[in-house]
Amino acid sequence: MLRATVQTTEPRLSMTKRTGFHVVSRVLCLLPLMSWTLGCASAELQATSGHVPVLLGPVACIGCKPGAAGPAQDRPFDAEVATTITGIFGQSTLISSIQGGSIGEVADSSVGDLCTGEIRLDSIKASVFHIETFVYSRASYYIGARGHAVTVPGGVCGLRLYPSVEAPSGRVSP
Amino acid sequence: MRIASSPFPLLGCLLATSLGCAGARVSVTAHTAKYPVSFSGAIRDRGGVLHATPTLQKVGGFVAARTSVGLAYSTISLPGTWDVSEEINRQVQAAGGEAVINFRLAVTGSCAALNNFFLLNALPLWPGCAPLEASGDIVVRAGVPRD
Repeated sequence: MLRATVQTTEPRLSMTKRTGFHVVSRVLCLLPLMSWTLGCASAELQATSGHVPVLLGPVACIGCKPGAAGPAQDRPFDAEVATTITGIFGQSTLISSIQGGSIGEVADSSVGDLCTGEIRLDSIKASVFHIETFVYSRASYYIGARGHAVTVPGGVCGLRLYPSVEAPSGRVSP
Repeated sequence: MRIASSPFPLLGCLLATSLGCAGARVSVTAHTAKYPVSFSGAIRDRGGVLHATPTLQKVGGFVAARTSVGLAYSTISLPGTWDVSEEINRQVQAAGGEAVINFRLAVTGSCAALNNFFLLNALPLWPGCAPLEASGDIVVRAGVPRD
């Protein structure tokens, strides 16, 4: 009876060992795969398509003193960019969201007049967060900007408003 | 009975249900910048005149980067604030510029291997990180004598 038990146990152990190595090797293979599928993302805050200044910091204009008292706040400005990737066993899905398509366009639409309006940012927050289980993973990249729109007294457009005078909504009179 | 006596279903369950997370959160400021910084391509002068690409001349590029480390599932970030003022002041002064336009701020995926480190990122002391990159164009007003 004892001999029979040994004979049935040994093959099971070796089978288990093989299965164990198989599982471990698959896990080790999946780890970098999961990292790679979630590692190619980024979120970028930019407003290059905007026509109004979107200012960060205490200096509002060329030649101005830092911290000079600014004009009264018109309305709050809030914009964010976010990129999220979710993955299930390496099958990743990219989800990007940019409020209003670009924060430049959001800025343009937040001011009353493109020649006198501008955005002054009060805070920018950025974050990266990865969460995962063995079967599911999610990577979130986020940048949010908050501030306010102001109307600059005596503000005027320069020689030309780039890239052309054809601004959104036709609110620019060059 | 055979399934219950095998350790691998248990291992599988642990792997399937183990939850790990890591990352970092950063505030970006420019509280002591001596030059104006605009995310768009437009900036005003002291007279309120709006300048943009046609009346601005690029004299250099601005680049800065910083990585913050997050602990306790990103609850604590070190440093929690990135003040880009010092880099702005240094690089704009070195280039002889008057302002930074087309400022961009990006949070990139170069920490993915650390943030995504399976199983170990379940530990609260496992560090995550948030790599930030800032860039822009250092400009002067074309044909205008400096203030």
